[in-house]
Amino acid sequence: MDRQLNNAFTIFLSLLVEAIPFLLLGVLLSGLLLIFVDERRLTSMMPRHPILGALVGSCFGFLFPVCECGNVPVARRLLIQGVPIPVAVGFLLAAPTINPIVIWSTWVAFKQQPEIVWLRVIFSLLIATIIGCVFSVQKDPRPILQKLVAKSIPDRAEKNLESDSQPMLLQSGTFLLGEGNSPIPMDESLLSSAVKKTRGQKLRLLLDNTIQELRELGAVLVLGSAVAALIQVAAPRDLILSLGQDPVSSIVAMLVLGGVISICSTVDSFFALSFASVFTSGSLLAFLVFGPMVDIKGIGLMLSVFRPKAIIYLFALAALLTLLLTLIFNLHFS
Amino acid sequence: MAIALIVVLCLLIGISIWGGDRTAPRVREFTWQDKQIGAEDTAFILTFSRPMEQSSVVANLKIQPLLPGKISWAGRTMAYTLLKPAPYGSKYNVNLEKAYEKFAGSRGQQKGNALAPFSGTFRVRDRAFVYIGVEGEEKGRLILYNLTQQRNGSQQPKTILTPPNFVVADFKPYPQGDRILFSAAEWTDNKPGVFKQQLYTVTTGLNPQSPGAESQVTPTSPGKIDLLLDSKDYQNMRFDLSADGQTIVVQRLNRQNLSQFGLWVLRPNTKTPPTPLGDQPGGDFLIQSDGQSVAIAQEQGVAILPLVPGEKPLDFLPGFGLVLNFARDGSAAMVKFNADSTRSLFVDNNQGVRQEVFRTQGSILDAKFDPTVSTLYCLLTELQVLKGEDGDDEYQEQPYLAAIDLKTRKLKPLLLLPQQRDIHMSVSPDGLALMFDQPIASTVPTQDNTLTTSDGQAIGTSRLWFLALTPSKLESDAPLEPEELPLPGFRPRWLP
Repeated sequence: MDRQLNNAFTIFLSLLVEAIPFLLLGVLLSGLLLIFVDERRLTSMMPRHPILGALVGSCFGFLFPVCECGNVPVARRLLIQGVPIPVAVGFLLAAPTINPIVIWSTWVAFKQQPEIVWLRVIFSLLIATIIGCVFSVQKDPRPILQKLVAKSIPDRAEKNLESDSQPMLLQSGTFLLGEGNSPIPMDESLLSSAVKKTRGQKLRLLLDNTIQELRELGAVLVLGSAVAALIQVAAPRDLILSLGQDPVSSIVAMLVLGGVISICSTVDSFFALSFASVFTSGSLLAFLVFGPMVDIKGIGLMLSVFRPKAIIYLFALAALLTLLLTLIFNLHFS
Repeated sequence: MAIALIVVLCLLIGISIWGGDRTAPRVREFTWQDKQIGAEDTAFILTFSRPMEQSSVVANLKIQPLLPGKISWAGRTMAYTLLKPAPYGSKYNVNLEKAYEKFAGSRGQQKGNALAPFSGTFRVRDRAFVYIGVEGEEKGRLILYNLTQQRNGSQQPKTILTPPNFVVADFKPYPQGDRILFSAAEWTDNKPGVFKQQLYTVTTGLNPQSPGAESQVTPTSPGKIDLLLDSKDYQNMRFDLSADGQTIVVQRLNRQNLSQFGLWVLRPNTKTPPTPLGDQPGGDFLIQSDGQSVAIAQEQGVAILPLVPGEKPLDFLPGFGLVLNFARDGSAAMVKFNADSTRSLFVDNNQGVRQEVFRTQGSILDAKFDPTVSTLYCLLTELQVLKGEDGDDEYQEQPYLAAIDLKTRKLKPLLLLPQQRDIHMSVSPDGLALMFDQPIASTVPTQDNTLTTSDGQAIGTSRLWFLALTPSKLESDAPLEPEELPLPGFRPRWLP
């Protein structure tokens, strides 16, 4: 019992040590997005088409190279700034894989099997885009988001739609007259553009935001890591690996392992490489695609953004799509 | 929408599983496929598409003709390491059938899916050597003789590589046998006291097709000559080529300032001009097998110099006369002059252990490692004391060829050689044959068109001898019978 607790504590600490720097990076990126990126310009640049939006979101990893611990704060910030939901979901699922660091480390580990590298990228993009499209059916994202996040989302998107179809005079609210030919609505957007902050204020805001988000998400990460460590001790790797090693059961085993092991996507290819001699290529691919999208220690972080029902759909769809794609690869091409 | 997609996905997964496994494990890569290997290629690698049942692969892997080796695994890759170099000029087939993958197939069979039958081929380079001709139109010219082509009868085995106006002094083949580095002067400059040897390369016309290298689509024709180093300001004396063929070290003497005498480094591939190594005079030298340093005989011993200009010597071996040979694994054979006027043959192995393997009152002329570094072939002389006509003792050195077993340090004389000092021997890269020459002094006085040995004696003609070194012959007590080749020439050297 003592030994198991010891093991659990070691795993817990190693997960934390591995994840905290990336969470910090994600939180910093989130702060930078808040302060230095004009949200109106950001949202206006985002494609409205669900497929295109999800694809663009998936490729955001190249701009924000974060692993699965750092992508949640960034995705949350994107949602709060009014970015369409397919973009945010695409980013959340694909950014941990579709980024230069992870592609490079996968290439280093799997030079002998280059198809693993490009199939990891293609499958991740495909799955993130499909799930992004599924979530785009929800026009108003607020019902699937946690209350705190939902409250912070500006109504601008809807207002913009309304303002296109409705004459300015028929809209309610406070307006400024005498500036140009048409009345200007006095809302948050006017406020943010009117009040220019000095550099010192911006840095102060960045620091405040970083500390606040780190406290909030860091606590969740600690809890998530503790749960992941306990599960790994209770259901050790050997048990998961003994699920099977034929073309079908090996994929299931590696999907479960990918979810439980909670290893950072920047190094998971080397972990997977150690199984290359005993597992099918499809199952390694399943581990490399599904692991970064879903892991136990990240569930807490995800819960800070989405409501549980949305997370269940997200996980189920990601798992089934990964299983299908890697199964086709194992049974027909490997 | 999400629930509908989940249902569809479950259906698709079910259909996929029901359709069953349509693939068979296969060999993804065979590193020697259609390649031509040499002694430096010690292992091939088979990479499988899936984890394999290793015992089924080991039991069913067939290499024909037989080529002993040992198998090791790293994941899905299997390495087959040869126990000794494959005999040159042979062709091999690698077949693997009836091996199966590590895990049971999806259809519930006990064994995994069977491997898609694999068949591969590779060849070993032609058995060929190069020598300097001595008679008629071959005189002073570099000649390539391909024993494999002679055996097959497919092509003319003999190719003269250099033009008639060149008299070749020395040469070293490049590691893949596609080119030869040589020093030569024009016949018109072949006079005593005139040193106009320049360094050239010449193509042999052999296509290396080595594993890991891009194959040449059309092999270059033999006899294409490039000048590497002229002799305008400096006389070029001795030279050596590194084992990787990237570095050349030349001993040069300034024509204007005779005190400027030393080693120069040439790296023709990097296009950097020749650079002097600094003030390190000396005699015979040899580049180490790693191509990073050179061992040079100096007054009191052998200095090991890095091949970087201006750097300090790496080591100094006091009392040693010269380094005779470096093996591919870094082992070295060296001669030491002892205080009691005997000479010792020392071997430094690659773990840094130095051992005296032989001591003689005669001379140690040359030594060459066999490719497995288990035997050292030596050219030695035995000091014989004869009674002269006037009753005084006369000393005579009797040359002989011997093999020293490096494990037991036991010397086995192989062959008595005729009375001569200037002998060149070469051990074939597969260790199965040895060649040596027998220059016969000229009776006519030295003229401008006379070839000379390295100690300046005029060569009338020269014979080439071939000695088979098959293990059965080496182990038997019966004397070895060398075979005289019908090729008048000297300085024979096997192509690597």
